[in-house]
Amino acid sequence: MAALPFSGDERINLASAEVVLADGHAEGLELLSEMFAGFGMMKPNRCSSAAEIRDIVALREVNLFVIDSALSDTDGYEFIRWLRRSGVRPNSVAPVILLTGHTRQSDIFKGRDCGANFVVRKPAAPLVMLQRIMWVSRETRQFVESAGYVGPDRRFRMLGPPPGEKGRRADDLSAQVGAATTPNLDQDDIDALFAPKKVSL
Amino acid sequence: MKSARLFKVENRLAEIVSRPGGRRIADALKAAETRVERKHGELAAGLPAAVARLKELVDGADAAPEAVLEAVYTESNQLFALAAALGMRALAEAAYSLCDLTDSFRETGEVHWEAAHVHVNAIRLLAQGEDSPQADAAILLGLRQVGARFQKAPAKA
Repeated sequence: MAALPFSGDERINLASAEVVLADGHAEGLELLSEMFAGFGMMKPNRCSSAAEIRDIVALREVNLFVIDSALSDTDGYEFIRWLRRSGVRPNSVAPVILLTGHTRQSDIFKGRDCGANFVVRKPAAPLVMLQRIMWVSRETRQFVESAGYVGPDRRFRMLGPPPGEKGRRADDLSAQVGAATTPNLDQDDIDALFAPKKVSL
Repeated sequence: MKSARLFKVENRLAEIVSRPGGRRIADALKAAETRVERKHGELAAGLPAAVARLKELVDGADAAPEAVLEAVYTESNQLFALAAALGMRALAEAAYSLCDLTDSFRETGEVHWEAAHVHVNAIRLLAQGEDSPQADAAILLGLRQVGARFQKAPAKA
């Protein structure tokens, strides 16, 4: 077994999670189902079409979507785009893992902009899938709603807006550091910050 | 430009996966790998039919080129996923190359069925899984050359 990117003694409990597994091809859906059963998932919602997933979205609170880019009636990108704009809370903001095989040239931007939390390229090995589940369960990125995009913030690191641009978000900070407004600390002040002190408890 | 609205969302999955009980991650991973491997025989049994479907589509390609291109793309994408899941890397690469080729034909409108025939013949050989790694590498090299010869990038708008 490959080295785990997390402690093997950590636990994961998917027994009560509502997970939607969707793939337009029977073999792919079967493999996904087996993998998630191994992870301990008890309630698989197996779907081959976007229509089936929409029925579930309307009826139940889903905790995780795993959607293949090829569904039987539309593509996975279109479905995720619909989900993010559906307004069906909390499902519209639930974590989504998108599975892709070959990506058409015309679908590259759709994959980037559809609103999935993560994209996993096939073959999706159990280790990779479990890692992504752990990542989305620890997801702290904010959600973005704008005219062109709805989904988790695509910035994984807060590096500020591109040089020379103001940024569109209220919390965007400039990458430029302004001039100091108070005198620098002298060395004694700095040493005092690190000096051990008695504290009374 | 309309500004973006940012907001925090409750991550229910975080609360659910950390509930008491469940499985050790190492155990969950092993169980998943075992269950997926058990399916390999069943998946491998479907390979000959998948390859035959692809051959039939390409052989009858002159009838309705656009519809056939779409069908060949879908079948080869499915074959890629199947071969990759079975760890048949050479077959997966050949199927992926056929996806690239048919996607390029669709984008540019220039269709060269002879290149698709070469791919299908290579896929039939690789699906048998009887050749040496050197023979597989030679087949894949040939496919890359065919791809470079017939595959064109779409014109930029």
